Amino acid sequence: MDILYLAYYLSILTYVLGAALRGLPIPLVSIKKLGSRLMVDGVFSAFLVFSYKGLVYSISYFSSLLGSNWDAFNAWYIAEAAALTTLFLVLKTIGFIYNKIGLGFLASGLISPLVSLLIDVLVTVTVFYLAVSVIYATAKTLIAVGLLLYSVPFRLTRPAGAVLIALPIVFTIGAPFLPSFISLFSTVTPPDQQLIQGEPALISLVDLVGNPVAYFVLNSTDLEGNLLYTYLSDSNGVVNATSIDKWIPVGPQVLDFLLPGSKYTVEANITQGSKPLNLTYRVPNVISINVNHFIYYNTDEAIVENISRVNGTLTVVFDVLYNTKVYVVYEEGSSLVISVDGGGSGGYETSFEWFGVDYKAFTADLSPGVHTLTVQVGELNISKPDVSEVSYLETTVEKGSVMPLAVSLVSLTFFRLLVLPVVYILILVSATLGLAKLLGGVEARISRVMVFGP
Amino acid sequence: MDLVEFVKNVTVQVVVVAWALFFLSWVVGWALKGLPIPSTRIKKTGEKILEDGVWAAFWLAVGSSVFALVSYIASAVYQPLPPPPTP
Repeated sequence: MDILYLAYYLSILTYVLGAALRGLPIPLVSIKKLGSRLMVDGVFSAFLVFSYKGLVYSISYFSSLLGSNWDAFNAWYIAEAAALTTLFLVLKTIGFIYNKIGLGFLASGLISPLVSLLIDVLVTVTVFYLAVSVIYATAKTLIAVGLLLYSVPFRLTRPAGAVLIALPIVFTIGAPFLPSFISLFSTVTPPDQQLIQGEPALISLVDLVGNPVAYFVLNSTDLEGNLLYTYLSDSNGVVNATSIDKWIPVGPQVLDFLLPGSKYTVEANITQGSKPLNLTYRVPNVISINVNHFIYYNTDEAIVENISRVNGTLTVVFDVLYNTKVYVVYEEGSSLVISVDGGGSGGYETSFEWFGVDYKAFTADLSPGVHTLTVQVGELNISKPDVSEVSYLETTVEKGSVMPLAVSLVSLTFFRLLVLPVVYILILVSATLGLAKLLGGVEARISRVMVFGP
Repeated sequence: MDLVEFVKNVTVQVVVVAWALFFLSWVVGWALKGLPIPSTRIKKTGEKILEDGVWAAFWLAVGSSVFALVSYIASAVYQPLPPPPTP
């Protein structure tokens, strides 16, 4: 490296300058002393330049000796940054919900300061991570430049050079221990509590034969009957509850799947698993014709023998055990031709409204025996139900226990990821200065002893 | 690198100046010692200049050996880098 050559020749220059000063025919003690000092400096800086590889090697040597692991440190940073971002999003969403339910003063007075504190924390951790990563990546160059500065005659840049040599050594070895340092203090911190105990989830509903049931409304209550959330599925029959403002809680809950004119209830105990959770429920007494168009029957009174779809005609064969009713629910304006056992209407129609959409229901009374229900599907009218969703976050925030938890959580994060890293940086900096002092001070005396004798 | 060349040239010049200074010290030292004034202080000053000059000449002469030694010691610790040059 050119820098090292330059540093080496500067060392020689320093030495020669010292010799010249010593040879000066002026009997002044200060000049002679300066000359000796320059010679010693030159020899010692040359020694350091030759030890360049040794210095670089000492980093990896001490790192492996102490067990500092940069991969683990990187993973730690990524995990912490993700956790901070999630917390940040949750707080933002809580603030948004407060604004929505008319508690804007809470959002601006409490949530905003917490969020800005969190940003401070995130910036501190990120700056620390970036700075030590840069030091780690440029360690060799930093040491070389430090040697160059160290070799400049008359000790002009010697302290700066010593610091530059010490910095990559200390930080590359010491920085990956930050997670261990922080975990030292985790014994005094309260147990980790999640602000919102929710999980992202995809919930889908399928009919008797596994076709998706679309535009259902999912209404979840806890076991005491308090509403947890209300979500509307998309036209593919999936409730996408993966965004943070639409999570679902884990634990026992009652899921009501609302369909036009029908309801299917499941008592579920949702446990943590894959992210997002993939939940599929099958509703056995529904046959989906299309979105918003269904056939309902009673599973206790009739058995479906066969279902076939040919050229837009759906044929269902029922084996009816007791007198029963079969319903065909469709949107008003859709053209369907419904026939029972091949003949006439055989039933009656009623109208109703469900979440702002007008429906008609065809009811067929069936006596025991085998019956065939045929539905010829023509032009269909498909409308999206007008449902005002209630997110789980909303119902949680309204309970009011969230604020103290949020404050303690943010304070804990502030302590863990801002105060402790700053303390750790101070420790590393003081170690750096100590090592720099050793390089610039004490060892110069050692080298003087080496060259001139005691 | 030009900077390396520059430092090398400066070093060579400083070496020349240092040798010249040594001869000057040698002459001045002996002149002071041989001065027909029977003052011990002057004689001592001359001797000191002479002695310093000789030491400076000695370190100048063994300079390359000193750096070779340094490189040897450092390489005993780890690999050496540039070979010791002769100024």
